[in-house]
Amino acid sequence: MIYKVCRMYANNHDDIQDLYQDIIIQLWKSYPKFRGEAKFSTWLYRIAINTALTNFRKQKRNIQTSDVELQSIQIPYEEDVGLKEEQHQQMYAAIQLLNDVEKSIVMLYLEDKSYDEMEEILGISNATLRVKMNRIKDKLRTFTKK
Amino acid sequence: MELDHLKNSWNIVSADLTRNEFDIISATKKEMESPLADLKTMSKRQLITLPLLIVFLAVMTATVPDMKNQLLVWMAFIVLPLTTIYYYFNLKLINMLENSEGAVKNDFQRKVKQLISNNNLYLGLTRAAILILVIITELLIQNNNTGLIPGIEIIKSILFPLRLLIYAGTIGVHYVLSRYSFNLYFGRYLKRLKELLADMD
Repeated sequence: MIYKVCRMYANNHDDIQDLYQDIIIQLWKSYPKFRGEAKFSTWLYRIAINTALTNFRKQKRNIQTSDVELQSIQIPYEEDVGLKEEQHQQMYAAIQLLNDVEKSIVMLYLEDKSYDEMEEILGISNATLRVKMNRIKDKLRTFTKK
Repeated sequence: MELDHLKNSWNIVSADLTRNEFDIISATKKEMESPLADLKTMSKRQLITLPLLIVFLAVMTATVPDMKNQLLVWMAFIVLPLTTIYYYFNLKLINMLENSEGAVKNDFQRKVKQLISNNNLYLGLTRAAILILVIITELLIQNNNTGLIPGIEIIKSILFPLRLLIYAGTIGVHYVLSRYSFNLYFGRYLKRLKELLADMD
């Protein structure tokens, strides 16, 4: 689960490892304060997303890699790679173009979390989340059509 | 291609990633590189250096007779402990900011509120301290009690309108410096939190 958060917010192996480490340490530090009011997985997601969103190292590297992300949408189709796989790659590249908050919503959506669970993790109201999700889907459609 | 179609692929790719090895022991030994890590290091350093400087100054004042008559030395005895307290509270604030509690948005809101209220408290206290210092200085000058604080004679020799200008300048410089230091230390972090909160609304 932590790797999924890292994958969403970091672009290469080193960044993933760095972010993974930061999240683990943050979990380690925060665990004594875990009072069991929320589910353990909810608490885990909260800490992981919180750390990923406020992680400045990742931000710096994102600026440097944004051009690569844009180019990755136009990866030429190779015969040995299935069409579906190419579409998945395009979708992943399109997700990288979303802002950090939108990425967290997409990640929780891909994790099959209900809007109530997302609200509990992110603190964004159910109604706002639904509106945001629709906008994100529209955005992704536009990105992948380009 | 819709986002819903990605769910299966998402789980497979993520599962692949877990093959990477991660040494939790070495990770926990290493200090987390939080956005405020540099500021934390600096605050810790200042909390060691400033008390040493106060002790050094106290020893010098006790041993060198001329130093007792220097206004700057006495000012340092006021400014240095205040700066030490400032860094101590900064360190406490950073430790608080490094902990996350509750839902992500609520946590960010709490941190923004805490940062702003801490800054306002610091500004209010230091402004009050400067004002008290100005009033005491002026009262001493008006009542000719200049012997109480060494070096106050120099301030007395300055014309009253010019003195007022110096007091106003001190308050102005303090305002500019406070704003600058707040932006320098916490500005980037606060900006990031505000941006995230705006994206969440």
